[in-house]
Amino acid sequence: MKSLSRRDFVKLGVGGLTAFAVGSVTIPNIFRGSTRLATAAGAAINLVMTDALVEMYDLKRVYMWLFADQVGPKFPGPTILATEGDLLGISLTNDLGEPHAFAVSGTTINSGPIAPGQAATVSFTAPPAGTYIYYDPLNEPVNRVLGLHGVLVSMPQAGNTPYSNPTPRVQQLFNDLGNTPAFPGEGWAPGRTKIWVFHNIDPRWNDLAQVGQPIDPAQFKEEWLSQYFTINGHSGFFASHHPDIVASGFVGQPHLIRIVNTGMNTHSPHIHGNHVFVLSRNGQVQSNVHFVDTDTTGPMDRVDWLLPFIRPPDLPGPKNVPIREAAREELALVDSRYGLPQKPLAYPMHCHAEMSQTAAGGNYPGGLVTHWEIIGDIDGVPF
Amino acid sequence: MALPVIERERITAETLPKWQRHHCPPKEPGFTPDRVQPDVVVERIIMEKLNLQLPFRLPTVGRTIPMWVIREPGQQLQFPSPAIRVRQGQIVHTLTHEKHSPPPGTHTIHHHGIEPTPMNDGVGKHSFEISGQSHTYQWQADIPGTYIYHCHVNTPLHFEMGLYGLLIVDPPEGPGFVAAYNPPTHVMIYDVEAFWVPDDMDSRWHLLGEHAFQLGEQPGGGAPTGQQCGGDPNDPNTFLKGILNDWQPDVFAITGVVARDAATPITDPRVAVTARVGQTILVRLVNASYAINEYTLGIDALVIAADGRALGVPPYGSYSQPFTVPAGTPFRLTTARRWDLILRPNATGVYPFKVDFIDWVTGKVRGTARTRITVS
Repeated sequence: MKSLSRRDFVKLGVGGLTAFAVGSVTIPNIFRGSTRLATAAGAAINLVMTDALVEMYDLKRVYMWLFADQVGPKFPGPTILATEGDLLGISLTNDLGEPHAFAVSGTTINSGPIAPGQAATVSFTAPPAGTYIYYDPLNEPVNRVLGLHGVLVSMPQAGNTPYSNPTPRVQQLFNDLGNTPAFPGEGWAPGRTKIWVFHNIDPRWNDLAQVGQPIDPAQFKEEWLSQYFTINGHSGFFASHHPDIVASGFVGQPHLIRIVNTGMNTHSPHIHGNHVFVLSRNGQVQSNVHFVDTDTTGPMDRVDWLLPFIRPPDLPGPKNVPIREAAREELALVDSRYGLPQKPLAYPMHCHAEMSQTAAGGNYPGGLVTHWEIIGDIDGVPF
Repeated sequence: MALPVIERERITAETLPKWQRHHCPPKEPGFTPDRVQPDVVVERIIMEKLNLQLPFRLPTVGRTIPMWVIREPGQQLQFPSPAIRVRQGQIVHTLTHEKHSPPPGTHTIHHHGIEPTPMNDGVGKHSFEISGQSHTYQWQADIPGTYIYHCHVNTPLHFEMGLYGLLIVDPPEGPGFVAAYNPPTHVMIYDVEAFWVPDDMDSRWHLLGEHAFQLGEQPGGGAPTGQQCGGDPNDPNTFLKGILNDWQPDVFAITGVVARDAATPITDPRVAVTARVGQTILVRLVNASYAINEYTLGIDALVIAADGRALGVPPYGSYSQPFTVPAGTPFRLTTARRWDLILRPNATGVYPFKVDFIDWVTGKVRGTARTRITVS
């Protein structure tokens, strides 16, 4: 429960990713809009640990503990974008009724417990380039799973990869993008980045937190049963079509996808249409870069994928025939039932541990799913 | 006490058709777009019911567990469904007959790991579904490897019930050859082939109807009276209390053969491998369960491919390499991942294989299945 006075009941609108962008860091395209709060390196980033109700897939309102920026509480928390080595100051205020803290996974950054109503500042330099989870580590994993988590992205100071010290194979891959017959088109541009935060919710525990009941973490893990599965706070149809989540581009426009799992379930994300390169796992840039259609992300895992946006390899016929001709009839189709066009070429991504594809008591579909789409061929002309 | 509310998006008149198409895709288009002459036609009937004998009794289903399988015309019903096997470079037509069974069935075939156009990808919400009709999926087998084919309608239930089989793309040389790093040809010869497909079952799920807990559908099929297909997304009453989020497995199998218990190795020749010293064994390992699989194998395994992509083979394997899992070292795969393993026993003996089915939340072992390789 809360000890400070607070704003009146307010509907915050539909959730979406927001970000603090420090200094001159390159902003992914998903943040090109009004949801970006710029801050100079060294200036304080203000985060408040607070609470809110979040509407689930079935409109059930679930109590969550969340990090808030100056606009309001966010699920997931606001993304922090910085360049490796930037000085960051996180100014934290605990607006809740029990101790909370701020830590960054894979680092020693930790504010220590902050008492209810108190504030604290954590200063650190942005860690080695990569994808990180920031979260409340207290009563592990409870506080994080109840909603206190977000993503910190650290960009390298130089180079054409997401890493300061890529392995030779990862460096070779990024050098080859746009420069070899296997990867016609463009290299990776940091603007073409997606962030996918996988999370799970079992509302029984949120109900306990709402009335100030303590939660035993061993019981939490033993009795956990996910009712909702989210990507960036959205499920099912809504996650499938959210511009923050859906990677969209032409053949030859590779995308980086930064995946973090802040929930309780181990997921087996499977992508249709293209395989992906697994670049990095939990801060380790890979020397053996597998090219897979299904991967593994367990709780607190951070995995970076490179989605190459190559021509789907199993289209029949010669590969020098443009997709526009090879799939001419398909691209012209409009379904007779709803009047919706078949183009562009849309492929799902979903967890294959299929329980995760449900919502609100196991209703299908409605879970951890999205799609990505090829909007045109290598010529850069939309279908 | 008043709290801020982060809202879920609402469906409007403008976005309603997309919601409905997402949940009630069009039925088959009546033709295969951009149809070309195939090199091979593979025919399948979906679906048929099969009762699988259990080596023990369960309170839910007794001594047999109901399965749903895909049938190959002229062949006996089997679980897993019979493999599709083609060669690199072939243009394939998967001719699918949706067998109209009361109440009407609705199914698709998705070729997992194969990457054609969306109309041939078998995912209803991005294309269409088949009900009581025949349809041809068209694709070209570009990259040799181990894949899966399965129904992608009400997928949690249909995949679990057995509507899946293996899909093998052989190199142009055919069976007996597998894509692997081996300059300059990048194929390896093998003498013995094994298909190890661990699967788990929650017998409670095997009592449900085809459309159980599909949004906007009654458990027996069909939309609730007065509702449009997919239900009203702005009405919480659309959502029923079900079990498809709850996985409590009580049956553990390898390649359709149920383990009697956690200790007894499966000796059925469909699973257990026999070989001679000096032979090369190819194991196609496919996690078809809903658990995290942890494998422990009593012989060194060279991992040559993952998900139908040979490690180290240019161009897309240029950033990877085959690697050895030493004997006795556990390794893990999650649902639908596939690894191809090369084993080269150089001594006679019995080499055990164990698969632990691990819970996706607690990390505890829910069940175990074993088999073995006997080398003479």
